[in-house]
Amino acid sequence: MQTFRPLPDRTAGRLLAAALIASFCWVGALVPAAQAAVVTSQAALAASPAGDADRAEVRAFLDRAEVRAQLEALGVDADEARERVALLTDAEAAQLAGNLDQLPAGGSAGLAVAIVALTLVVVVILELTGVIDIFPKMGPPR
Amino acid sequence: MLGCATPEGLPVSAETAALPESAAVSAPFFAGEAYQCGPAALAMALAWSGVDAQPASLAAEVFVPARKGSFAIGLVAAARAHGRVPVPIETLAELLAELAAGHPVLVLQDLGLRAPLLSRPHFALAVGYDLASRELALHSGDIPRRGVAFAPFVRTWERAGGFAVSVLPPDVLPAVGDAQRWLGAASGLEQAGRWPEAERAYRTAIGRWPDHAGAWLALGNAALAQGRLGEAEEAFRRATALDPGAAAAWNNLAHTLAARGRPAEARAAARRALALGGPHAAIAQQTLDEIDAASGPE
Repeated sequence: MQTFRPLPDRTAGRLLAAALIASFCWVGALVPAAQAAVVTSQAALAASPAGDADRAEVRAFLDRAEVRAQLEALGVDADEARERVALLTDAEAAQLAGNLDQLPAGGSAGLAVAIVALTLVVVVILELTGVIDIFPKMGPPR
Repeated sequence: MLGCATPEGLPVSAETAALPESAAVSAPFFAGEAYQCGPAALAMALAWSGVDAQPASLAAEVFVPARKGSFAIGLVAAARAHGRVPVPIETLAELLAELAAGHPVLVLQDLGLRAPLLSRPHFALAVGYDLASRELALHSGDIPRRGVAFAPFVRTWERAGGFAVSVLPPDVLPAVGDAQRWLGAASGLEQAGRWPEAERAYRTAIGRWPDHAGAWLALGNAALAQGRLGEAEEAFRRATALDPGAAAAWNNLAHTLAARGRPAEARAAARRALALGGPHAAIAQQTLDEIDAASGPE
């Protein structure tokens, strides 16, 4: 009678590798192949190309998907988000992915809002403590 | 010693010595309405470069509603979508050199403080400087040619991450930076499908750096993408002659030769790329497989 033995390590490793390859192939199939077997200028000119080209392609695809979802969550129209993401280089997509909440967005008036709020608070305090008297009906406590 | 302290970030005199005393770039001015300084600054830069662009239409391309602003990378990508080359500018000395060359520079400043509620990122277009008064001139918000002293400018600029780009037509090289910087910025045009502009930018690079293998490779890619196989072959051959270790150029040459119906030569070039290894080895293998699939193995 044959007793159950755990799979030898190498077999387990091979199964895991096969599963990983299969999952990568699946994602890889979704990656649009712009021009098969041509090295793009971006990739060729990169100062330090990131290791495995296939993996880089999958990574870029996932980064783009994430940026697109984030842009939509931040109120960008779905079609517009798709177009914007298509314009990004791989490096830019990687820089943006997961960072759209922290990166500076030029145009925000955070400071102006804060200053208005702070000024109002100061004026009210000065008025209530009787240092100033510009709101006749508010005045200091008698 | 009062009055003699060097403000931080002021370029050393050796770097500014070659610069004219002042510069004024004639870029048009568009007032940035609420939160729209990004589209406004980009519209000014694009308009200077010869693109008919309005802040309102650019807002649809770059503005992010929930953040009430635009991202620097978004402006860069939009500039490429309009066929322009956004070249990164890294120091105040470079910025001044660009202005002296007549190129306006799009900058991101943080006019507030480096704190969540007090931050105020803001895009402006640098359009001039004056060394005597140590001031930059910025098209900023609703003020054209606003004077800002170098030191506070550098502080607000660095606070926002030091982002600055010259948005240039593909046939105008920046006054600063090497071939790599220009080609890196120009190659993003491929991503935007702007092949004619990419090609013009590569030709501009070759005019200035005729022995740069990367520029020939990029030119080959542009010719290939536009279906001009003969020119592509010639360009890739130039790239491999200038740098025989350029695996990418050998691979793309192989691809081009295969497309021209010369499988034997294609196979030899693909083998050369494969033998060089490196990050493009997988693509070289794919090229070889495709050649075999199309013409049958030897």
